[in-house]
Amino acid sequence: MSQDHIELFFNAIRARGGWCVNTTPRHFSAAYNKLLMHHCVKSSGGNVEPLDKTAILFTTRVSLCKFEDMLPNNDRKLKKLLNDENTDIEEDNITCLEMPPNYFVLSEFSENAVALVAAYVVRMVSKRLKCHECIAALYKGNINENRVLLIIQKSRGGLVIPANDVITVCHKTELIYRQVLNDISEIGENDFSQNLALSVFSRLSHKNQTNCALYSKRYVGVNVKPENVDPFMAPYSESPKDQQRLYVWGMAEHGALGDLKIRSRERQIQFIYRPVRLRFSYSHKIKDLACGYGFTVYAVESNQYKLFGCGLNTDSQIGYHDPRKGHPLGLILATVPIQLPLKEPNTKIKAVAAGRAHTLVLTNTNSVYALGSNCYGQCGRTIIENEDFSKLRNVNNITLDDGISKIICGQDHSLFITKTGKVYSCGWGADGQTGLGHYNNESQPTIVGGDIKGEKIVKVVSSADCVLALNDHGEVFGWGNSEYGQLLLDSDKYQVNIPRKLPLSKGIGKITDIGTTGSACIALNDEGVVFVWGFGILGKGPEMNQSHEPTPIPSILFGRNQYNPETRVKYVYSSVFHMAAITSEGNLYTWGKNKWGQLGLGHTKDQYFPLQVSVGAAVKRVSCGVDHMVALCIPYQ
Amino acid sequence: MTSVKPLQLTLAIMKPHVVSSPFSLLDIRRTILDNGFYVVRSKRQTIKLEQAEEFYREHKTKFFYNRLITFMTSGPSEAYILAREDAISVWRRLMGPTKVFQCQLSNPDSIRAKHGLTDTRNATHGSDSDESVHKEVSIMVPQFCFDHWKQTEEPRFRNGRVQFNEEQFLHFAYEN
Amino acid sequence: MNSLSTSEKAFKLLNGIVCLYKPAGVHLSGCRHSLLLKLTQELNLCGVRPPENRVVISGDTTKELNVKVESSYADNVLVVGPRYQTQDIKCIWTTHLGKRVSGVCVIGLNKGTKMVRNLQNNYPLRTYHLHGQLGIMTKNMYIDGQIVEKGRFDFVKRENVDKLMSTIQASNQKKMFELANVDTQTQTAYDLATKGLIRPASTKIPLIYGIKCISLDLPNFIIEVNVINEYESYLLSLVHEIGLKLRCSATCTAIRCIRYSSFTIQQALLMKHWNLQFVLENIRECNSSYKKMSKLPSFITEQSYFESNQKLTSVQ
Repeated sequence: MSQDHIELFFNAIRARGGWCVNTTPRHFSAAYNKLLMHHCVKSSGGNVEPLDKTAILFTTRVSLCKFEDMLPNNDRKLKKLLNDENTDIEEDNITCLEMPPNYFVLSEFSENAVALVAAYVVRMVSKRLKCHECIAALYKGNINENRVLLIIQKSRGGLVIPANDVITVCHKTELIYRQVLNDISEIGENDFSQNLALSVFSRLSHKNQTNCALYSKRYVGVNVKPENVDPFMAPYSESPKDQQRLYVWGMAEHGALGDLKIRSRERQIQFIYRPVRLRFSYSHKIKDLACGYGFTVYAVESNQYKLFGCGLNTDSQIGYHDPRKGHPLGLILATVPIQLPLKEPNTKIKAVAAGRAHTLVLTNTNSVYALGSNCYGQCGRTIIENEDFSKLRNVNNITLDDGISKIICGQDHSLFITKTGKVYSCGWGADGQTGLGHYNNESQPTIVGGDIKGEKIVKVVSSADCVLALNDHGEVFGWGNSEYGQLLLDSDKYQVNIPRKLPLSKGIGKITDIGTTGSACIALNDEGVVFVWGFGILGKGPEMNQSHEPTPIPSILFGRNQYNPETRVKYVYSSVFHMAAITSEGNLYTWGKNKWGQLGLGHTKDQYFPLQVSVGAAVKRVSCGVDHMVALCIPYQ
Repeated sequence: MTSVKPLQLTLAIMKPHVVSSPFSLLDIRRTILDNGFYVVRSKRQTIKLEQAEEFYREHKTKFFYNRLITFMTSGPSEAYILAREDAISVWRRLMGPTKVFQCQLSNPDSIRAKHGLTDTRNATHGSDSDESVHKEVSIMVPQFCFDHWKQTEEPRFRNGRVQFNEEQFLHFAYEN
Repeated sequence: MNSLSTSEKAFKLLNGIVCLYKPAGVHLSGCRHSLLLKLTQELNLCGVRPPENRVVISGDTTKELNVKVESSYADNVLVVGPRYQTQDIKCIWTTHLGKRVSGVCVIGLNKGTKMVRNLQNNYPLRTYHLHGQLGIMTKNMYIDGQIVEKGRFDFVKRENVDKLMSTIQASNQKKMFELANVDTQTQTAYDLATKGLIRPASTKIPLIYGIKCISLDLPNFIIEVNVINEYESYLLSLVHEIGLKLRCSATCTAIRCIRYSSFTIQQALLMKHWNLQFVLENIRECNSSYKKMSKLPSFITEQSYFESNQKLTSVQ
């Protein structure tokens, strides 16, 4: 026995009292009483540290909080338990309690204290209860029990002796509180009592599961087999071979890449310059995806949530989300489900398209839902002046007589292809991008005439203000902005408001895929040769930044050489500032502006000719946003 | 620190697509502050059609007049009156050329190359001369009085007696 | 060998490239030896020319001389050995495949040696299938070595492997431009790229052009890799490194070259077919595909190779 223990003891008393240095006997006894009440041995400051594990009376913050927070919640809980009269749960609990560490064993004094608390609970509950029998049940206490000694001692006539069951319930609650406190040490200071109550409640209400959770907590993520398997040799789950994979890259500041943990780079601007796999595609089978300006939408095959989105939401383009009532989120950094007012629950989503601030969704019932900004009528409804799109809740439903087969979004306009190959358009027409023969905004989807009248259009593309359309014979039509010669016009006309057939020379052959950037166009013919024209980074080296007629990009740049003579480009894609191509082997090639790493090449320098992106899977389709890209892939076979 | 040269004013307008993208807006604001501009007035508004027509009267005959007007009136935009020595030229240099696609090749670090989307959606507007500043400010921020600014606020700004309010994105001048 | 009339005719046809399937566990020189041995044996079997006779002029020089034709021992098969011997056939190979490597092996015979050199100058790409096994590590990084470590591997998933593959490929793509001494932003990079694959300036540093996992059936996996300037131990260490990057260990179980330039494994002759008839057929096939290749504008002939080399030296 050393002096330390005595020192520690006095230290504890001083720490407890704290009001004066020279304690009087009264102070001492008060502090000592308090210590006895809350005794839970742990060091808590002071000038002497314990050398060995001697039990000294100490209080910690934890036990203090316990007593403060226990009381107000207790009665509600109790009532619930009593009204349910679910005795099974308690039995379960007891078996559970026999197992782990010592905080399940209460000291005799603590048990007495718990009984005292139970008495208080009984009084509080009986004030609220109306059933006399219930109240009577609460009071039937046994005076001869050890647990009520404190009550008898303290009572001057006012205290009641609670029923045995009540004490037991309080006992259990106390145990769970201790347990929770032990488990979650990282609860924040400010919401301590609330969080504590929450977690205790959750444990109380799921008692059966709690037991399992307690035991298997150590092995989260491992499928422990019921047999006697060594948990450290437990097998890992396998991933199916044909599973879809989703890769994203580019600008992450808007949240369009979904919930990724990204290290911040210079000036805290967050971006990813090489493909990163998203887990989202594992839990959801993605049918279609679309990238807009700073946001991404996914159409998912499911019965519950069919549409997901993430990213910029200042115009409600990915739905109305308000965790705080009346304060919708303008930026959503995680992939969240979007509610659609579907008329039938088993409606499926066929396709999605995204523009600068609006989203179109096509269902298998041939109707289109339009979300987001309607400042030019791009959602197909009447323009309301000074409409606040950030709090927009309603979704516009568009149907056309012929049935819609494809939807396309420009920056601020929308295009629809019907099943018969006609094109309808609405939205901003200031460059003629609606192709309706005027330069005004159009708020109703209207059929587009001009040269495409009578043609069966199979594909329409538009990323900025220039629109290209492809018919079933491989001929290309265009309208909209042509400031950089995208539409191959003879005259110096910059805007075309009526579809015109593009004068492509015979040598180009049959076109199978098309794309437009803001200032250039790209086309693919049936032999797999890619043609570009317009202005900007065309993919033909840094010296070639303008072409007035379609020029081919050498196929060798897409991996076609003497060893791989079969390789050919299958699809071309384009965004406002960059282009992409997918080859028959599932390789993705990108080129163009690369300010935010949207090319996925591992750097942020501009790329002047097609270069392969190392995705790590066979790319099936991509979607190019203004500053990010999403690729849907399957594993190499 | 006192500077001898008087401060020059210029009008900067954040176009609707920038205002609806928080990242672009914050980045441009940061650029403004980093380059030593004082924000004398800051106003968020949806430009009315008459205002826009008045504002772009000189372009009335150009082919892009219609799309410029419809774009500017399509949503909320922010107008800042910025003060700095040679504010007009410095701000125009920061912005870069008008045409975004050409700007991306010639001035890749300018504001328009970074945050512009197309030639119309070119992120920002800046006045080109003192006269146009007067004219444009009177259209966009009619409450602003140049004489009053010159007499009372300008000396304070020049002597650095200002306080910056992050929330309103505004510099306040205080006496002494 | 009845289809061939004489061995001389056959020997004349032995000019060109032959594409063999080299089995694992045999040295390349051994392969060459057995090929040539078989060829000469068969050549010898199918009717060699008769030994040349010797004219013997004898007798007293003052008198009329005695001219006799006698059989010559200097040309007798029994004295000088078989008519065709292995050293009669010139034979070189394109790449040196190590002992453990199996697969396509391109060999030039007689006049074909020149073609082989031309092929080598063209920086041909090789494709290998690397078979590996996860969970064990051996001293010599091959499956026949002494095991030094065993461990778990069941946490390895397809996506981990694919991610690693894409990382390797991306870093090699970067290295590709570095080794060729060009900046990707310049016109020269574009010009080089349009000519074909960008090849490293040196012939010593291995460079991967493409790598992907084609099968993962734990603990076994197969990796397909397009590579240049590789050697056996490099491929072994590649598998080893892949294992380490996957946070376990891996050992190579087989290396198989499935393509050399445009010669694929379908063309390759199995060892049991290494006889005169098949080799001659193979030579015809390979020569025609070589001709096709040499007509391509990107093909570097001997002349253009020297020219470009001279240019390089003059620049330096």
